[in-house]
Amino acid sequence: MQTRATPGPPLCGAVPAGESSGGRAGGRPAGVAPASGWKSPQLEAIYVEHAQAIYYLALRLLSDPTQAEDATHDVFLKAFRKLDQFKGKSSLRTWLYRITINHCQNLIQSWHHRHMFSNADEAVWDTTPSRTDSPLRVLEIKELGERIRATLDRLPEEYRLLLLLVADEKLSYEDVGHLTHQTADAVRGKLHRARKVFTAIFDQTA
Amino acid sequence: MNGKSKLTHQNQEHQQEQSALQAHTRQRPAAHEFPNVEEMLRYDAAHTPLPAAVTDRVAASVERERLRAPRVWWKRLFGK
Repeated sequence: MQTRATPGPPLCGAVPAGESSGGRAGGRPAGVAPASGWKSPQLEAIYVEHAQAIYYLALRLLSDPTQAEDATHDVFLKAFRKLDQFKGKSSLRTWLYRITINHCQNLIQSWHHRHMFSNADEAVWDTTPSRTDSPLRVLEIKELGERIRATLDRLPEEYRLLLLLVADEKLSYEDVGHLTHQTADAVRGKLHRARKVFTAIFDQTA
Repeated sequence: MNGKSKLTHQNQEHQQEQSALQAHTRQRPAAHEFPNVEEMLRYDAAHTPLPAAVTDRVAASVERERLRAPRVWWKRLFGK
């Protein structure tokens, strides 16, 4: 289920009474500490609702905590500057993800620090026996983040993005398709392969 | 008395076994199982806190931009 947001306010504007910022109404998500500098409760509400998800996506796309912090800052500034252009055709979360994905992809392209994943490599993963139905077991939970980072780094970019977006329960398959320029059916189809490749690489990181 | 002493001894042995078992459990790493990749990523996301410094930076930058933004003509005219 998606909560649709209506066009938002400009940077110093106000959200109409009763409007949600695009996601579930609720308290401050874990990890989003209060800041004393907010002068706009409306912008703060949007930030509190989505900041952790934006940071996590940036962190896993860029694979660098410092760059992810900078990206989160830049994404929210861009979004708040253009909030009056948000037409509400998608959810606010989807719109913020679009800005984040573009921002991170620009950074990745400019860095040239990621190796290209060739079709030959992908073919190797496709021949790997499927283990998507059995659970993923982790002995050391404190190493989980590092193993996920290592796995995502080796995953084809399309699969990496697909899995990260599908993992967000606030996005529907249609939203994910919109963000990755494909149909929801195509998302479903590729998701199976993405899980399979992720699992094969993840097992190697143990 | 003998029966009571035997019982106490058994209790002590039982307590020692329990302590050894608890110590072993503490040393053994806790295994986590995730039914699929998405659940694992959700768990990871939920346990990846946003650094507080980012929130302060965004709030400060937003405020700076708000103060720098040109005021609309009627607000300038009427001094609002």
